[in-house]
Amino acid sequence: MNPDDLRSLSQLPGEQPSAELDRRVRRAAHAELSLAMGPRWRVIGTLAWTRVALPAGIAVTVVGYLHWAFVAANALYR
Amino acid sequence: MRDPSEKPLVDALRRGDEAAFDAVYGRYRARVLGFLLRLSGRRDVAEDLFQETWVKLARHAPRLQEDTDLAAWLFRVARNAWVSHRRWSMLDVSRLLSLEEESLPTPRTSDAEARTDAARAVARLERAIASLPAGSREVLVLVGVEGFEQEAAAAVLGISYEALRQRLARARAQLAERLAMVETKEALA
Repeated sequence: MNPDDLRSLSQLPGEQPSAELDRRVRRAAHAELSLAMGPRWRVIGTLAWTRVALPAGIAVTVVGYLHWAFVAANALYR
Repeated sequence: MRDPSEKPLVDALRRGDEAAFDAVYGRYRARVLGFLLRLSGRRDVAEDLFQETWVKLARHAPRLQEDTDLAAWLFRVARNAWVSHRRWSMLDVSRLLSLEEESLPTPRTSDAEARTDAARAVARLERAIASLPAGSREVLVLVGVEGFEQEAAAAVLGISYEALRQRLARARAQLAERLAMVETKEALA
């Protein structure tokens, strides 16, 4: 096979996804497509919830818990 | 160059038509997965990035331009997902454990197929491509395997035409070198 001839590379086959992967991708993409085509407020609301409110809520909860644990542990040694 | 038969598909996608999405998916799924497998060398990573690529197409469907070249769009998104994955995986300790596995070539032919000369040649070529540096691998796969014009491949990679030509020339030389190494190893085995 002559490596200078790029056409030889075009003989390489593609790769069909498995039936399971196929199903998973289509399901996720169809859900995303219907969300993307929905009303603008719903798209913005979903993005605000999943990318801002939920992560912020988790971060506040974790920091709050760590703060409480630190204060409580300090109080034990006073 | 854009396939003119894609215009109705792009129009339907912009309207959120699931059948149009399935048609695009059916047309490009094998090429996109093959591209990601050759870039990443790992099936689990390639499958995750494959899903990410198609979900992004669905998310951006209403905002696609009328003249969108779907092949170029999909390969650009797939390639960017892989680049992003590589950046993050540098911070991932578990990657160090699988480094050896990742560096292995990934022949995708079965034992039965490998009996024929043609399949052996394909397997050799796959091994040689898998052993190339990432930058050379992506340019060779785009231009050689996927058949992108050089201008289109440069756009997918986000580099100038001149830079692509240089990278392609270097990649061809490296491929020739690696092919010779693979053939020598096989002859000695």
